[in-house]
Amino acid sequence: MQTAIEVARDWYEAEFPKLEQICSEVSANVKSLAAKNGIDCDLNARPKSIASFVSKAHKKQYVDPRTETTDLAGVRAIVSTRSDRDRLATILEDAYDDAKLERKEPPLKGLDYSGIHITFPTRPFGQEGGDCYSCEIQVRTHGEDLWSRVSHELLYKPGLDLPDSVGRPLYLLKALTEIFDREVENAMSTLINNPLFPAARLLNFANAEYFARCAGGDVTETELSLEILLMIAPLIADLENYQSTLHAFAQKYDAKLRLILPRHTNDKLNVLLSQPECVVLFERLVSDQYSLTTACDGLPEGWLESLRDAWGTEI
Amino acid sequence: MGTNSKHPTKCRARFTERLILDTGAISVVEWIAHDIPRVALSKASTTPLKLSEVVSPYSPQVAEFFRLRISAALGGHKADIVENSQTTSPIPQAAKDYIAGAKNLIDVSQVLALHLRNSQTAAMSAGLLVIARIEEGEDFGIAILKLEPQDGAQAKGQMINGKFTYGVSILTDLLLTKGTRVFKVAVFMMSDTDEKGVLNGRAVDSQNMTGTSDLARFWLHTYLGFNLTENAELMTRRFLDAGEIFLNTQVKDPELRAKYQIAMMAELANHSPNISVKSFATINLNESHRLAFVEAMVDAKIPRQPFPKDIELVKKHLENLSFVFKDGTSVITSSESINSGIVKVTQGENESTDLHVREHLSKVSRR
Repeated sequence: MQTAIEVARDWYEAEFPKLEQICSEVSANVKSLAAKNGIDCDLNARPKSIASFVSKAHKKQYVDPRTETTDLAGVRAIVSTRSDRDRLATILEDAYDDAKLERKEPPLKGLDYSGIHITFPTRPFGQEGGDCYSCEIQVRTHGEDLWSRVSHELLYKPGLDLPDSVGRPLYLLKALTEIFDREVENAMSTLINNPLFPAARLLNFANAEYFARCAGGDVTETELSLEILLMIAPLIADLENYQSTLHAFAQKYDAKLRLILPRHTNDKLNVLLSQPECVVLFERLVSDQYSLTTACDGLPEGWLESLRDAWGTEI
Repeated sequence: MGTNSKHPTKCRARFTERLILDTGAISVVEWIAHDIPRVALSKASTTPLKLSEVVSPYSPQVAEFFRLRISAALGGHKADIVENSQTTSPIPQAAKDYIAGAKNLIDVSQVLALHLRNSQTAAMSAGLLVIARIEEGEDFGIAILKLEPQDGAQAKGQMINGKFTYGVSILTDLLLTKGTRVFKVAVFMMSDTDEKGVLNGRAVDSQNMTGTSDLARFWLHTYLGFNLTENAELMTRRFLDAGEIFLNTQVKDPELRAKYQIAMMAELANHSPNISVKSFATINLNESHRLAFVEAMVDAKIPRQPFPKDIELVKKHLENLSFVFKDGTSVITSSESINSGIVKVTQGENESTDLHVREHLSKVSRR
């Protein structure tokens, strides 16, 4: 007669393809939710390996590993700052039914890793009814993730007790990862408060769409770009979501942009047309030309008209 | 001799709705230019005309320059035009011949150049007639541009007696500067020919094409041989009707409604020969209403670009405003009374409207 773990192992092996599907779907959903909320994140996802499933069942002495293992499908989202981590975790907790959020905060003298876990039951897309499978999303900062992987290698995998000669430096290493996260957060906070920050962000978004469609020229001026985008920034209510707005615009008018942009890469007469921020200006021209005209009131005569002429009119 | 790089063996049938031309997406592929001197009509046939015999050398910068100027012109005072079946102008047939592949660009351009020289009067400028092939995706057509010379100044650094200075020279043969915004243009695309073979197009003239003088009518009627597609009277009335619907459905503040209504009536009554929806919105409406107003006009098939004004159908409606209340009370007043403060319209409580009249009462009678 098979043991409970043997039954569970056979079950897990048979269900493994569904867990791979769940990992793929949840990972895509996390990516989409993060992007919509202006959160950059790196993702990796995989089901718990069969060996880990069995090993954990033995270690934790599960009666029914199928229901007691909470991370059959695992997704890891790594973000830049703690505030992004907290924000994404809240978004994900709201996104899934019956989701439970747990903050992993080890005690002061502990070497365990930290982060936020969201666990919830789910099924692969297309499966109506039947068993649910547990999924766990771990949301961490880069520092937390680094410590998690290092500590896993040093503390859990070897299966040995930690001697003092190893333990003390590890505390220092953990502290360093926390300092790393803290300083990243401080730096981001300082940058966000810089008056040029919105313009610089917009320029990053503009560059991504501009250089995807033309090689650019020798006359591009970053200082001019920032000056122009400072005028435009107040027109954009949600700066972080604007990246997806601009991308959608560029996709929609891809053929037209690929026609117009290369023609003006070294255009010294029509200055705005040779600058990457012209993509943002075109987007504003299509979305709300009145506000754009008002915002660009101080520009030299003819600059905005040249932009309008280049974009053209549907007649 | 140049040839059409691609042309259909027959014209593509036109769709029931006119195809949209995106001037931002067109390319100017090749062109040929003819110099047309200023000459009295009586001397036209005896004044030699040196016609170009090959297409002009291609330059991407010049091609884009032409495209921007065409885009600027058609984005401004553009009119939709349809060929006049009674015209003696050779242009409608020449354009159709080019589109059908029966004639090449050089032959067509020479016909157009000769026709211009033979129909212009002494009171018209000399200039360069440029005939260009334009393409938008799979659609293609012909653009006719008349460019008139302008003067300008040029500064060039030079050394005089070992010292640096800028010498300024006057240029009198400039044709198309960045400052040139409006000139004579006509565009005919392959997709502009309808099922009956009637050619439509788009045209611009720095003078009003709806004027009655020979000069005003020259470009559209005499030279091109076309008429305006849409009756200016109907478009003008549609502007007023759609504008009033917008005010009454999308502007909550009664004071603003009255102000906008007066502005529309003033727009129709002024001396401008055209109505520009965008300019009207910018000058007269609050920023929060501008975009919605323009979109409402576009939905009512009123062009964004300026169109000719003719108030024949609406002039009797331009004197008075009528305020009609839910209980049946109606007040008829003039815009002057509102502007002078005799009649005041303000927002009341619970989204009601207060209308206040302070004037000597002449009469009370039954109705």
